[in-house]
Amino acid sequence: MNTLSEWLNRLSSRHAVLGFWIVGGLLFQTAVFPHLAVFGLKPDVLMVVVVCWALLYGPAEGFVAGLAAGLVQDLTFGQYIGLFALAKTLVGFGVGVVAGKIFRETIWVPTAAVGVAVFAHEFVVWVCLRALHVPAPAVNIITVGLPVAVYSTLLAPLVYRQIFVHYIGERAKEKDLTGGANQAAGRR
Amino acid sequence: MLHLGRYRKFLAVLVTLVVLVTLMSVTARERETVLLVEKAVIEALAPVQAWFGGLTVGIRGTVADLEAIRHLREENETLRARADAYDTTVHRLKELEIENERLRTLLGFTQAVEYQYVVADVVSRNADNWFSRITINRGSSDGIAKNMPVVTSQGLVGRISEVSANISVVQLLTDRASGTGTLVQASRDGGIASGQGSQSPLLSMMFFERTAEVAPEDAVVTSGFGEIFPPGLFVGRVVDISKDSYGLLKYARIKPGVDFGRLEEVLVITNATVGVGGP
Repeated sequence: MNTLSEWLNRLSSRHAVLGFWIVGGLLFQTAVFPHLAVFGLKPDVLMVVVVCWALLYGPAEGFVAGLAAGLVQDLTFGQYIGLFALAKTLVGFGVGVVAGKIFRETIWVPTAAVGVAVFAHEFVVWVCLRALHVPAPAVNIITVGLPVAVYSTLLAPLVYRQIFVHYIGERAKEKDLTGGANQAAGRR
Repeated sequence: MLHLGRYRKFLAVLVTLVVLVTLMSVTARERETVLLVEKAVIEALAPVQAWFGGLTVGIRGTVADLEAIRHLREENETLRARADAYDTTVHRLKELEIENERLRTLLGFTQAVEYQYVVADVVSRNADNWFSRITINRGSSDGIAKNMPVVTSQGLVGRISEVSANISVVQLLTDRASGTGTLVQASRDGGIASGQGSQSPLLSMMFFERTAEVAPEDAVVTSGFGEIFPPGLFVGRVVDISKDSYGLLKYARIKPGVDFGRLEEVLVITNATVGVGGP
């Protein structure tokens, strides 16, 4: 676990790390989790990544993560390009806005946040499908949205822990740089 | 300016959402071409997806093999008995084929078309839980084109919905945006079989006539009316029959012949008559 975080910390750009999580999440979601589907449903790994990212880095980063993850998802299988980008951007930004108001240091709060956010994401997708005249009865909000939210919640602690370690590492680096600059200014 | 700066973030979000909604409504229509960026993403990810998928299938297969070893002896005996029975059936079928040929010549019927197939491996599945689509490792460079029917030995799988040079996307029968012209093989009553998304393995067939004669276990095949699928491809068997609350429409739930959860290889029919537009 920590080896992965250390390796991620060495990557220079924050968005390269985000890219790694999105591509990795997509690969797991399209090639691994279909074989581990429960009642034909699989977790939304990309949404777990977006929510964890938004919780730690705030609304602007939640927006970027949602847009990037959604667009990649749309482009790999989409007839409706923009559908999942729209849902993920909205929810990613929304999670980022409320992130400052919740206690993020415990694992339980982000886990619950992932459950609520994934359900909200499935709801937005359902609304869009209805608008596009794709057959999606109202009962699907429960039969699809709820199980996917619960299944995704199981992955939240694992993903959040890794992103949190990277976030702490990034903050420590920033403090070191600020501290070094202040010391140099003091000496002068 | 200060006020604008304060709301700049929300303005950016709003503009992006408007752009995404526009993009979604434009691409929702049936498209004849795939965007260049779509092709690039699909082609770039496919080899890694194939490797990941292969690894998972391999692990799952090994676990299944270990479980299967226990039942092998029993299964072997059953299969031997069944093979003997098949030998008899094959002889009977040969006789019928000759007789069929003779009667066709007598009535002046033309020879039935023999399909040409391209074999393809399943690379990955869609990431969401609303649609049912797969990607396969064959594309336009292998002679694949949009709307070609995709089958396995168990029956109809779906149609090609997007094509790039080496990769194609298949819209499965279970996709909620899919609708296939079908008929009950015995009574010849027709209808449209639609998918209900990845969480339901059954199709819903709405009959054109409320007096349609249909019973559980009846075989359902493609009608050939939709210009995409040729007639006679096996779709599945009727599970149960129902009517809407006003008694005006008749429905049947169909269990597809294909196990969509375990698709690993498929066949694309390259010489079926292909029309333009989605089912």
